[in-house]
Amino acid sequence: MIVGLLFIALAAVVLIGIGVWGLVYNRNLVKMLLSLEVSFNGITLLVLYLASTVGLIPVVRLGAYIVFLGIALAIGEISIIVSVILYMFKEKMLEEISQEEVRTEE
Amino acid sequence: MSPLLDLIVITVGSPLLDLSLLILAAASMAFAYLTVTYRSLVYSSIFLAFVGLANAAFFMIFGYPLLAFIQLIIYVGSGVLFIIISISMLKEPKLTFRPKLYSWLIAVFVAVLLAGVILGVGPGPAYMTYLGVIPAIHYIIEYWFSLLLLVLALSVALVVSIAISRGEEE
Repeated sequence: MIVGLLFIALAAVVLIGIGVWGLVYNRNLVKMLLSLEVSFNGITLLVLYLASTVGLIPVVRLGAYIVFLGIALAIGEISIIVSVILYMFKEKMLEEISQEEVRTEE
Repeated sequence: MSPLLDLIVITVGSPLLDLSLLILAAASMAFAYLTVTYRSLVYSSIFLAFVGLANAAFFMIFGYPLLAFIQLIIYVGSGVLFIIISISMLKEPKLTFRPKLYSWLIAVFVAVLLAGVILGVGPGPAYMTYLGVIPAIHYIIEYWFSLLLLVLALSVALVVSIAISRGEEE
């Protein structure tokens, strides 16, 4: 087994962990979405790792199919959630994002 | 194969592959941490794009070039950019055009470099046009169901996004 592949598994697990931690830690909706996307990246990596090396997913191609569908659904989710967040900001349903959060250095 | 490519090519099981995987994994984790903890939302989104790029590199190493391209083009190219542009529009900052000398110099340098590459490479042979068609058809046959769901999901997302945006104006 290639030693380097363990780094991929480690990266996948750490990405999922960071994403979940960010989801719990952050109170900003956009930050929570970004944390969710980080854990999504980790999950896709883990699915491909399990499909390719460990063999937990019986058909190797199935891993690619799952990740393919996951990416497509993630993009749909991003577009809808960002639109809803923008709508909520326009309708003053959420607190204003401070100028510092939108852009730091001018 | 050119000597330059000989230097770049890494073989499976080599220490160079392990080292590159280690660097990629470390970069991916660092960018993920920055995405979650960085205060500026725009920079956080840019770090998320870097996480996506690292993931695309992993996909390529695993032997899924189509997934890597999908990750690059659709996820990083449209999804993350959509987040960045949306966040940038939240405050509608005033745009001021401040041309600086070095920005023009960089633009001219990049233009000359690109022109040199294009002129240096020249037009390719005619048969190159057909080489890309065969893998494309192969991928369409193999991933037809996923492609169909991709089109459906993106169409629904587009329609819903337009509906929500139109609702803002009323």
